[in-house]
Amino acid sequence: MRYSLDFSNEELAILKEVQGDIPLSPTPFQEIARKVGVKEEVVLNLLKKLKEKGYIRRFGATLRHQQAGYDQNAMVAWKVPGERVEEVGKIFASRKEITHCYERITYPSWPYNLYTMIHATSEEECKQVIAELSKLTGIKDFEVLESIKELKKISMEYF
Amino acid sequence: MDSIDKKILDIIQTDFPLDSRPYQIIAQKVGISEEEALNRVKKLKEMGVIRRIGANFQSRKLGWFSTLCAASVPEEKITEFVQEVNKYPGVTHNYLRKNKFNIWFTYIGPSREEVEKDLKAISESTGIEVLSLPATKMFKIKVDFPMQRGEDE
Repeated sequence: MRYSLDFSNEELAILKEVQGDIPLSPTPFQEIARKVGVKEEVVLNLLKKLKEKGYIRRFGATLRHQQAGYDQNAMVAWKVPGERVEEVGKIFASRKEITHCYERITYPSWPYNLYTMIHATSEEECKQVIAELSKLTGIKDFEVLESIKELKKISMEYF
Repeated sequence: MDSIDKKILDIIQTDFPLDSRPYQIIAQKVGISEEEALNRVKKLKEMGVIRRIGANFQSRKLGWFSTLCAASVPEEKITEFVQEVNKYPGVTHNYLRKNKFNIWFTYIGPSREEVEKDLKAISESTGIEVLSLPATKMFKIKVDFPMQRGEDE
């Protein structure tokens, strides 16, 4: 099975519509319903249910950060001793400038295990946050993976 | 972009109303008409501030597999490597970064096996090793950006 939930063909058709961009209309869900050939409630109930259960992480607008004033993003890969990952991960996650924080597997050629994505409005703010996090946690071994160029950015098409 | 636009963006990033008349609800919250709310969103879309409005799925919950990939690509091979990688629809983000490992991309697919098969194919066709770094633990994921920061804080 392709998905963890057994979606009907009708539901798959609805999800195909909402994984992209919904119509800019006073009644976007009615338009989707008409296109798929179901009642509007069917669309709204499915979306509410999937959002409530966490299959839809977020329903809403995705912004282009540059145009929205958030033009600095830096990924930092930290080398954190195994027994401190939990503690350090929680400290990182508590900072509002950090949008993503993950522990990932390592390789001999790449021993960094904790990753943070920092979004800030200026390069100075970014650097300041990194310096503070390092001081706060005592983790001195890290790589700042500054982005030079965006090579691709799309929304995943699951359906 | 004025303060009303910023309020609207804050609402529709996290909580676009799942309602028959979403712009009526947004309008009520910021104190404008439904028509104005929709027109402002249209304008923000035209300006390029809003990329899209829709659902963001949690890949793992759907039973899919996602990973972050890193590759160390010599300068003269970057164009060719990126072209090959970006062909795959499972590659959603790809960045050139300032590091020995200079190409970083995300890969999403229906199963771990399928993703690993594709990554192996990329390595074989380009001759460049791809490190797959799947997450073992998620501490935070937040994808909305407060627009009213500095005004409210």
